[in-house]
Amino acid sequence: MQYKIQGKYFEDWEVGEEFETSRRTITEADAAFFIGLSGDYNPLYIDEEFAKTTDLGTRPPHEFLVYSISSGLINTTTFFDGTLISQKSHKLEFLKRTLNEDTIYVKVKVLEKNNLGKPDLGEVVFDAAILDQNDEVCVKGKRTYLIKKRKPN
Amino acid sequence: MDGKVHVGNNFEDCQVGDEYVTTGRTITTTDVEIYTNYMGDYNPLYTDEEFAKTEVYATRIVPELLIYAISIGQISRMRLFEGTMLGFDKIDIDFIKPSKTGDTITIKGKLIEKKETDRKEQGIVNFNVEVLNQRGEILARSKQWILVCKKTD
Repeated sequence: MQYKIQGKYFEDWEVGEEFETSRRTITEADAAFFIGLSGDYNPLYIDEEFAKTTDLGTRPPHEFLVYSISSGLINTTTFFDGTLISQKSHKLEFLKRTLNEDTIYVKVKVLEKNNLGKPDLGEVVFDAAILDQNDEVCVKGKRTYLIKKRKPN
Repeated sequence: MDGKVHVGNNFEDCQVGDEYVTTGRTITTTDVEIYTNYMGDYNPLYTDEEFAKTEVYATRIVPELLIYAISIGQISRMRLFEGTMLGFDKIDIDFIKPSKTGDTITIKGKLIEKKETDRKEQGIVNFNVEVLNQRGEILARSKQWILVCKKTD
């Protein structure tokens, strides 16, 4: 069995190139599931009576759930299937709370490419902003991925 | 029943230099399956053993963001900011080393800075956060900026 690589190689990415992911509505089920997986039982996310006393007035889904879902959305483009070596770094800035039933998508733009002087891999830096149904930026993100280079023929 | 919960540290309670170490958590294949299935992050790096065998790590690795999601949960279990945390402002993460299922992670944190915001009822505490495996090797280095309530008179 041979795996056919669908993703884009380092050479295929161009600085300035942009793409958008498909969208996903964040549900209360997603929020509850993430609490269980991560183990973050802070009342901010799970206690509605407490949350009523906060500025927001309700439980929001976890910030890192929103970020993790954005990663899934990016992956479903298949641009990274078989060519991603690792997710080297992430810089996240939370600008606006995402609430349950908000629909998010990710706008991605290639900021820079670093050759790293290696024969087999290079680094691609993406600006990846998470937007909601009103096209407002909820999370500003910068992702640095290590990506395979094509093998010389 | 009112909105009161166990109260963790307020902004005033935090001192630069404060440190914590969490308990350990072993990352299982179930964690990985739940995470990849739910987020839709089916990159073969995480989900296809036959493909992964031919890659640098020779087996499937744990999704980087899952390691960090679990780290956030481990930190939360210390109840440092229960009822006082308003949310994350920013998170920067550098992944240093890949992780495999069966690895047990612990998290070390150190408060490096306290900042005022433009809202007088809250402040930002900035932690250096390291994720370590069972051999004490650093898997990830990160910084977290957390919004925390100030004391009310």
